This record gives sequence, structure tokens and C-alpha cells, in this order.
Amino acid sequence: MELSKRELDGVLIVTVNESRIDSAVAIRFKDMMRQLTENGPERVVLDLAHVDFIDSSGLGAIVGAMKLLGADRRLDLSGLRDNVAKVFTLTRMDRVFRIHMSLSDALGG
Amino acid sequence: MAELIFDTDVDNDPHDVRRALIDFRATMRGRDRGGLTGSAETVLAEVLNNIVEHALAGRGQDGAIHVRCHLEGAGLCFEVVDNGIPLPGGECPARTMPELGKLEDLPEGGFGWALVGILASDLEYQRDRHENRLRFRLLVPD
Repeated sequence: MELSKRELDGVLIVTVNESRIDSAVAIRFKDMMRQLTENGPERVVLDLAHVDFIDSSGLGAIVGAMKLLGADRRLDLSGLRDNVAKVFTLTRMDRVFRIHMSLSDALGG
Repeated sequence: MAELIFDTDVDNDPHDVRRALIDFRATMRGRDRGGLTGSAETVLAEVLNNIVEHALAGRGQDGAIHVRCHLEGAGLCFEVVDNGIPLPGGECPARTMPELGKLEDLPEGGFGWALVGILASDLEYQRDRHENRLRFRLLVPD
């Protein structure tokens, strides 16, 4: 599981450098998100532009990562590809997360 | 006529589930219509994950899964067989989507069967002597 992080204009950006967030990596993904977001800006953007498949374990891990941030911080998503966006829509998680078309939208908005 | 397009053994291991899904996607290249491949991959992923996590839990390399998929008319017809324990109550679990409440109460699981319920049609479960047999179809969206 490869994730990278950087800070830009007071926003923590975590990029998933993998094409799949599935049950083979979900636990590792959540652990890494915990480490990468432990300290830092209030707002975190998870960039999913490289991800073209997510299953319910991966979805659960993203929800878990948001819950770990607590009520005072926020996890937004950006760059959802069709297959990934569909899973968020069908589970109605698109109403829980703020979802941006692209990372630049997320940073401009 | 139905054409067998995908026929594979899957090990009792999430990494081999991933391998099978990637192979399935490759098989569908040039055959996709209306996002059928993506929906089918989601359903197959949830079905296989459920088998590895529940039916074959603790079985290691004894656990065996076999997937076959036929292209039939405008849709796909799947059959997934495993040698694990039966589904609780002898039927597929409820396929309702979990409720979304406040942040701290948001569910981190329970979406799998609900996704299967939304995306797949004609879901049929059968318990043979030592095997679970699940059949379902994916239809091209209107």
C-alpha cells in the first residue's frame, strides 16, 4: 500500500498511489491513514485519482479514517473515477463526504 | 447462446481474490456495455470477500473457490462455488443498505451484500452436500 502526503496552503493532501483499495489492503490503508494524519492541518484531502477500484472493505477503511480524525477535523475526497464514484453513490456515502472533481477543485473550493 | 468467458479457481486469500478480479476485468475488455464490467467486478468482489472472510474463515489452503461466468445475451451470468460453511440460515443475508447517522456512528461495514442486492439480479443460493453455490446475473443497465 503506497500513500504519500504533502501540505499545501494549510491543507494536508494524502494521495493514494495504488489502483485498488480492497480487502487485501484495507486494514493497512486505515493504519497508514492514521499515521499520516495523526497531526497536522484540520482539513485533509484524500486524492483518489489513481484508484480505479474500491470494495466495501476499502470504503469502510475510508470511513474509519474519517472517524479517526474526530469531529474537529474533516476528510474530503477528490478525483473519484467512475467505478469508485459509483460505490460512494450506491452506499449514499457521497452525502457524508465532500467530494471534489479534482485535487485542484478541492484546494480552490 | 451462452458463451463461457471466465472460468477460474480462486485461492482462499484476499490477494488471489484481487488477482481474479483483475483477470475478470481483462476478460471483459472489448465486451463492456454501459458500465457492466465495473458493476460485475463490484459484485464479484463482495461475493468473494464474503466467502474468504466467513465461509472459508480459518480454512487456509483447504478452502477452494471456483468462479464461472457466461456471457448471455446482453448480460453476464455468474456461478460461484466454495467448499466452506453454509450461509447463516441457509440464505443470503439481508441486502439493505446500512443507515448513515452521525459521524461517530457511521458504519464501516455491512455494505457488501447491499451492493450485491442493488447491482445483481436473480440471486440464487443453494447448499449442496459440502458446497455453497451462488448464482447471479448482471444485466446491462437501461
